[in-house]
Amino acid sequence: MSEAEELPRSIVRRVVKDKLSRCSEDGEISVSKDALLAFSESGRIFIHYLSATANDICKESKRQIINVEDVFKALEETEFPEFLRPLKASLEEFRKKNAGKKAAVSKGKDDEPRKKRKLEGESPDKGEGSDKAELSDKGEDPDKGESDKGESGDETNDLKE
Amino acid sequence: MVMAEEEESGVSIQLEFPKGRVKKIMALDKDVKRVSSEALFLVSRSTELFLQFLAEKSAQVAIEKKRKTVNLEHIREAVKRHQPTRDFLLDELPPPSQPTKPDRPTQPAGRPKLDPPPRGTRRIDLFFRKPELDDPAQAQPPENPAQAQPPENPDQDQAQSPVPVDES
Repeated sequence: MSEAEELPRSIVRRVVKDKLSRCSEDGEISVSKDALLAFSESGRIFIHYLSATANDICKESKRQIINVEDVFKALEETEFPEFLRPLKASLEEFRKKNAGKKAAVSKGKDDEPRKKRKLEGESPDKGEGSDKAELSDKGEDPDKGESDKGESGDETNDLKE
Repeated sequence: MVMAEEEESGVSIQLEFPKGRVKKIMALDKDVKRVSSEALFLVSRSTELFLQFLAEKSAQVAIEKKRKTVNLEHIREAVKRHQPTRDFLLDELPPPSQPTKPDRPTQPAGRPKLDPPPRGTRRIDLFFRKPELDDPAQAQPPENPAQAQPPENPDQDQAQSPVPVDES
């Protein structure tokens, strides 16, 4: 299996060790190499399992794009309801953050001629650049309006490029 | 990748796993075609939560078994104990490492098999054993039973035997 098809091991290690450090009071629990591989593989399998379940729910509703509700229903169906509360809270924050970004982008369009002269010679903002890269990865134009939005009002990711 | 940052509400929204990688893993399924950005965010965040959940359960097993290191057996045990996880994950995990069974029965623990000693060396307990004859013919019992009996009186035996006489 190629590296692109599995979760980054450094991040898996960090997520697992961060949790383990909070589990034991007397001392930190370490993770063996084969266990770390198993955690990484488990995460990958979970992604397949969850997305396949969400996709089935999506198809039952005669829709093409997997949305938030499909994922929530999939988690209920796969018997992981304990994830729903933290996920809903995370989603709220994600939406707030995105709304703030969109407002900044629309405001930036008005001030563009003035800002261009000011920003000349400065390095582009890292966050904004990465956001555009993500959109170009999807093969979408960042300035497009509602035409490329999904049913839930956010951008869609075409997985079959 | 930046560590998860806690917002004012105490909810971390900074994803640990890169969205692009999660998207590629999802794309391996031929049936899954399109996914919204929010749904992709949720799948990525769910994976994080699942790994934390699995790590916690595995740690509990390790603590029960008085171990300081979580290994594959602890993960397998944790998966077995949680029905929803067992349904999709148990068969996908690597099999438990089984000790190889020997073809023939092993020697008793008291007598370990040793390498043969170098040529010319003798065992230390050889001194206490009966000397073994090199010639197998000598080891055979004599055919005449009369010859087999040792003489009762060694002095008498010596007297009967001819003594060489010096003729000079």
